[in-house]
Amino acid sequence: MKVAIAGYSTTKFSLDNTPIENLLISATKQLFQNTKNLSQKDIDAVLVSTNNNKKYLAPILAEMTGIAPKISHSIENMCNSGTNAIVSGFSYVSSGMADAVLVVGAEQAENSGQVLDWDVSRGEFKHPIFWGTMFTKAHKRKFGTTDKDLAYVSALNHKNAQDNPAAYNTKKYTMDEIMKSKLLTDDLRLLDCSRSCTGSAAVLLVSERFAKKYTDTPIWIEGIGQKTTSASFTKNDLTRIESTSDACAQAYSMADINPTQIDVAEIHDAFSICELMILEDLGFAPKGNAAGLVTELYKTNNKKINPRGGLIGAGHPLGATGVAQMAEITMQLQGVATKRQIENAQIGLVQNMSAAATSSTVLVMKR
Amino acid sequence: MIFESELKNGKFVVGQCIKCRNTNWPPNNFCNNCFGDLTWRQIKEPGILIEWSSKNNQIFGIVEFENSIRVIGTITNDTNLKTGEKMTISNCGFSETPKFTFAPYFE
Repeated sequence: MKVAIAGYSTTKFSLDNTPIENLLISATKQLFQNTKNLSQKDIDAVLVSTNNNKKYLAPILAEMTGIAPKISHSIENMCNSGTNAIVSGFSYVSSGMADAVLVVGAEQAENSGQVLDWDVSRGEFKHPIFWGTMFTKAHKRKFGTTDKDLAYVSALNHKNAQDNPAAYNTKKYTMDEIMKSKLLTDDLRLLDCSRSCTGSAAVLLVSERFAKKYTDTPIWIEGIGQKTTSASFTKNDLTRIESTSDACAQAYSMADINPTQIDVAEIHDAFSICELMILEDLGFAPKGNAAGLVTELYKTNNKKINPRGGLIGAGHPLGATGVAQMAEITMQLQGVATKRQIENAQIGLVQNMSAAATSSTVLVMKR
Repeated sequence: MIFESELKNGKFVVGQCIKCRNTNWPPNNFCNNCFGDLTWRQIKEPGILIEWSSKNNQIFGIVEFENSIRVIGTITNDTNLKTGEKMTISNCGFSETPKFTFAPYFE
């Protein structure tokens, strides 16, 4: 059974200390206001994506928004909780267990998902900048990637974020400002990093027979791939994101496409180096050559990669990120992304990953 | 866990399965290959430097032991580091997290 996205919302990302329940409700309210013919009684499942430690959030959200679903539960998988929740929702619809699934992701800027305490292989070097810097150093060493190459990634994402009203930071940064931003490690500067922020997003997944009830332009999830290689960062090949390579091969096969057919993509630029590695491992650029692609996109004002501004530009509300990525690609394929619109986009991709790239989700969507 | 208590005594130990001889990393209560019981033994040195970087002039790096067991630790005596060079554990302990200090290995 085919599964469509028939509604979506993204709230304004910020550094505010908004309660998690309010974030979930705001995204849900906005989705209902934006989706025609949608009634609370239509919703068969409410899935909440978050790293927040509060309990029973999906039933709480359902009650606060007047929904009495068959299925309601939370999904936590660090930074790709959002796409994991969407894959779960897809499964409920494609199996026939549900016709309409509401997936809502939300996070507060201060949250327990920023550091994976479990990973003892990182020793005392727990903070994400330490895996980010190892990826960066290894890519520089193997492929000759430069600080300027990395700065173009940040410049591109910050430039794209200026046209995203939901981004937490819409300031324009020059290459010089990026390359002179605070040095965090030997290989990473402040503006190479995404920032954990507060925000929420929602999507409505529906079965084929009801898709046109809620939208004239349903967007179909045609390909899904997921892979978990480990939970420990140090098992990674440092110049390749194996989980993304594996997940995208599954998604391309299921959707029967190749990467050259993708018109627009949202990818998980936790650090600038991640964007280069992901572009290479998705097959958008030869291995070691993504910097040339990013520089060209920046100089030609091409928004096909991370039109929202990515995690670096828009911010990273962990549990909401994958959901917001899906909302963006839906808007792009519907042709309603206003100043961010990629002309005549027909096929889109979302890549979302967790915990130092140890697990990835890739989804292919078609108009 | 034995891994933590032995680290507190300055010993980096890993679990080895008594049935299939598989070495388990990260530390586990049973074998992740055959679910057999483990014996704990000290890691074999030297390791190999996989990658390194620095923060506020403190050098840290990933060192791999026995072709599979990788950990991040502080690196001392760090002149002219090269990936692939042999490294030894100069100090290890446990306080909230494992703490490792590595130094170049001289035969």
